[in-house]
Amino acid sequence: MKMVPPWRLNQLLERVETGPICTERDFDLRILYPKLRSLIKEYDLKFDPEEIVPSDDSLADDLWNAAWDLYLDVGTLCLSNHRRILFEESEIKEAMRFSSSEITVGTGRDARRMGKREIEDTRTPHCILSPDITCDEEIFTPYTIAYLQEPLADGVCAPILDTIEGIPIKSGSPMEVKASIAHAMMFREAARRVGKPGLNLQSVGTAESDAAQIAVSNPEWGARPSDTRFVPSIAELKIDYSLLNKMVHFHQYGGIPGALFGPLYGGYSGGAEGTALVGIAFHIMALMVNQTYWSLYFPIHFRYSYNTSRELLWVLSVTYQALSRNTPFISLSGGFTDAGPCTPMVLYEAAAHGLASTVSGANLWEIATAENKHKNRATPLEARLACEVGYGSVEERLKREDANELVKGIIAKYEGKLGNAPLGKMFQECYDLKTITPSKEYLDLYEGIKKELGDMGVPSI
Amino acid sequence: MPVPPWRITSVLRRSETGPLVTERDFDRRVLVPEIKRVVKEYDIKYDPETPVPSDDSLAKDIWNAGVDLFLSVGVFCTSTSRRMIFTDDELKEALWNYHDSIELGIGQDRKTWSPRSIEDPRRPGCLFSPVGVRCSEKNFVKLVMAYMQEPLADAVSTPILEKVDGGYTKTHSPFEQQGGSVHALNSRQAAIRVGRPGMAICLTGTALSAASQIASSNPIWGARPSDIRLVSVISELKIDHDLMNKALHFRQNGANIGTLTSPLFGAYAGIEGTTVLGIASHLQGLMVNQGNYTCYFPIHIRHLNNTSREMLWLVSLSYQALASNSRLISGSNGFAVAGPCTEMVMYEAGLHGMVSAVSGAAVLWEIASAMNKHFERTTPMEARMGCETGLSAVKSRLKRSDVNEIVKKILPKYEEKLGNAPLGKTFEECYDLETLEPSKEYQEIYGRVKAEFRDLGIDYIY
Amino acid sequence: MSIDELIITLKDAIVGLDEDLAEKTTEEIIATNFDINEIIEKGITEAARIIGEKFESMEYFLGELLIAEEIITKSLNRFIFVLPAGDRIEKKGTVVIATVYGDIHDIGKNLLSQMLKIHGFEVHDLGRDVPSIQVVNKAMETGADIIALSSLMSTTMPSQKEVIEMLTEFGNREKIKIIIGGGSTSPEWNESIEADGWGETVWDGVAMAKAIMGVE
Repeated sequence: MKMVPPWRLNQLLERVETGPICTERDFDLRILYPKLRSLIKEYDLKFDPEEIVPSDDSLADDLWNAAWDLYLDVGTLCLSNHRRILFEESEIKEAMRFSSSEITVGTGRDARRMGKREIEDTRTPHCILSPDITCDEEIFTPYTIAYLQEPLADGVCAPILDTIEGIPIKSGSPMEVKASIAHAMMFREAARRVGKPGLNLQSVGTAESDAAQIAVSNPEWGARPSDTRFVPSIAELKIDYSLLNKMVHFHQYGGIPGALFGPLYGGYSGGAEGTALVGIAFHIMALMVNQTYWSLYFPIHFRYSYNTSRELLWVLSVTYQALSRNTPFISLSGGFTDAGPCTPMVLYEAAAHGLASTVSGANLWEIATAENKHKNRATPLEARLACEVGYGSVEERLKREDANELVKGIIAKYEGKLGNAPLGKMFQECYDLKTITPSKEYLDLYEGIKKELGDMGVPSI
Repeated sequence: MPVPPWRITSVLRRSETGPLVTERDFDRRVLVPEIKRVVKEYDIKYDPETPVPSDDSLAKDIWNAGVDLFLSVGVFCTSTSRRMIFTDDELKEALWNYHDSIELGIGQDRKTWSPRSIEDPRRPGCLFSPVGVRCSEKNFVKLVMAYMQEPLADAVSTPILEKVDGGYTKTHSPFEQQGGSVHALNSRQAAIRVGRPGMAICLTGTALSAASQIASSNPIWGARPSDIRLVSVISELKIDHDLMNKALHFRQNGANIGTLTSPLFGAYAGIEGTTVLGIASHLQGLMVNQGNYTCYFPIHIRHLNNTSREMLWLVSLSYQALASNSRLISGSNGFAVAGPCTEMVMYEAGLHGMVSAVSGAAVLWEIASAMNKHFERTTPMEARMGCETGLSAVKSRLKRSDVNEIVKKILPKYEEKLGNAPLGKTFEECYDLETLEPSKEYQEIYGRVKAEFRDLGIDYIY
Repeated sequence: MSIDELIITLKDAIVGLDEDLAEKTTEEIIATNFDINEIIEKGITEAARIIGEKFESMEYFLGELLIAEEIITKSLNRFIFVLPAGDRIEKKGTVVIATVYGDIHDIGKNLLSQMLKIHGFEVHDLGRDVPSIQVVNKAMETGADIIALSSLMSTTMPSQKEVIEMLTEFGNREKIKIIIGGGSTSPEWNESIEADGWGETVWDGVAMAKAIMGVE
């Protein structure tokens, strides 16, 4: 039975208005940064490039304990009124004690279970497939159908519109409201076309502002209470009114809010150890401030926006191990690759991400490509491979040490090209827009790489 | 197909592509000179001796000046700093296709509002409104019930929750959104309790931002498409994206949109210019806000009222111009200076109601008291006085000239006190919160003023 | 013309919104051995007073205030340009003014802003819908004497309170006076948030600002 979230909503809102006033600069430089440094020292946390998927339970527990101290001490900064939101230890414990470790998303026969996973869990991960990128207005529907038809998809997030009827969409403008509603309606229609009318449609990426996001809630044609919705956080450990407004709305309308955060490796979090600590703290914040049932977690490189490097795979592996051992949190690991679609590299990166995440206790959200900044540049094939490898690792009952060796083997194939990866191709170059099937070129490549990985011992389905 | 909506995509596009101009230049070099030009060109002159004129050509001139002003100035979008400009043909297309009437509320509580003509024998619609007054969570339901139980009320407006669960409903904060939801929930509850569950309610005043306003839409517990939803004009002839977002949401969810507009006498223009602005604002309401009707409350910049001599002239002529030249449905929203339980507020309400009704207002939207800014200083008695007097003036077949005489007799009773009016009492002091009955004192004041109006020719039914 | 006559002409030009005459007279004054503070006192301040009266009696509106402010600024800039080193114009005070966060209604604020400029205040007008932290930062950055906050809609009034809380937290509450106004505000609200003054009209706002600075 679900009890938390929401956790004492009014108490939280009051705290947002009455917490200690603090400038953003002071929060970053005088509160977060020194605390992180002292905790890394105190707990003697160290990234080991040879142990990308470590098997050290005590490391996971140390990280958890350090992140707990971090969040209790630092809390969250609300950027709209420059106040810190702080919690007592007993409050977080109360919320965690009653928080749900299993939820249902979607409706009818398309309903799916989304649950917390253990390290080396024998249950398959919940998989959401998402291009995470903007797309041309005219290909929105085939693009969305391509993802929706993937059998592994427990849910789908559609690409983002950046024009509507030819007019560029600015956040906060009426074009955004209009485009978001178009997005929601076309998305729903596409789900029905592929025969999955009740599937969880993560809604609605085009709507960045609170007004637009709230305007798409409609049980008939828009985002339903059975759909997942985002309450993003701001890096690092920050929030604002607009995001909290979405949260209040989702709870009152009846959606399934999830938090969204990507601590920046190389930013205020510092190196791999600090990024992992902030990542774990973000999960606590998700429960207490974002008031969400689940999280999408994507630590990324602050300059290149990928998370398939040695350091970042370590960050997400240890984060998930820490969470699995110490919390009931449901979290999805979001992949970000450096290479673009229809390249060998993107497939290697996808496999490494899916494998490291699944064995460490994560669910999957796959996958942004080409540093997540090139329009139309993501396809279901990379996402499929990442999830298939995740599934395979469960079926083969892989241990962390097995996964570590395999991930190291895969990384060796692309590590040298990180930061300078091939852009690959756009969706419409990789897929036939009429039949909505992948090109022969990409399909052959995908099958070739899958076989190559299989020969290395990387399982898939 | 009826208008509005009038070509939504085209309107949105104009806010992104219209001519760029700084707001200062819009005010200084476009708006102000154009107001001066049309007032001069159409030779519009205020006459304090005739607060309710019977001059049809003056009303015609005001309409023409308003159309001219709207077409030459357009509407300034403060979010993009662009002017949205319309052609004569486009305006005519929208006016020609404008719907005949609108329906509010559902089931047994459904009402229809239609346009009226000058000295029209048909009764205007009535909306009872404590609009904009801050109210405590504790008294909210009772105050709204007191308004809803009024038999004359076709629909009601609702006050603003100052705090919810102990937090100020500060705009943009999540407490605002919480306030918006509680506001909607409580209003629905009040309607059910008075036995008018389908009644149209003006929602949701506590939710000022588009996000909170949209979040309070919910067919089960919140604002329904059959309720009254408002999109403001920013004074004068301006709009922004947050407001356009609300409009788009209301349209897409099937709600009627009301344009909320209040030209300010004393800001950009004198009384004649402000009257013309009132017409132009109605046209903005149709073309940009995409409003099905208008809630019109021109106010005096200092006294925040529209019950003084020159403001009544403005109200009367605005409605004469609208009624004789368009089918636009507009609610005349009274703003009184004096507070509840004073003779002055009763005079103000009575005059506002009768002037509006006889001049052709489609709806009487009565009435903000105590300048609409003092905590819980509003009661249904003021609204009742405004609506009863307006309806009775119609039933008595009063002409504009008759109303002019009454106004001239009553105005001297409070004209001197406009800058120093009595604040009156709060809702709690005027009403028994259990029985929802007005106090004996207030009933006596109400009866006394009504008797005075009766002596002057208003034939009240009861 | 004598200097006294020239100053009167300048004053009348400002009041009459005659840009050309004001410009011409300014140049004529510059050609004399002028005392800048005399010009401000007898010419510009007097013009401001009359313009205020005309606004009060609803003869002048926002458009006229905008023009008058432009004429005064132009004229003062000319005087400052030719001012001998050592002489300086006494400014009445520095005001940061804004319509608070969430509120888009700025006519009242614009009127006060113009009127304060006309009366010789240095005014930093941040516009409408301004987040509280921006008001506070601007006030600290400019060393403002006064923060003036307008709020028309009831639900935006708490932002006036928020500015005061932030200022207190940053240790600047004692240095900066806060005056409030706008449709929904009242003396009771002023008292409850411990602001330094509430004004019903633009005129009240100018009077409060002057009283705070101890100037005429």
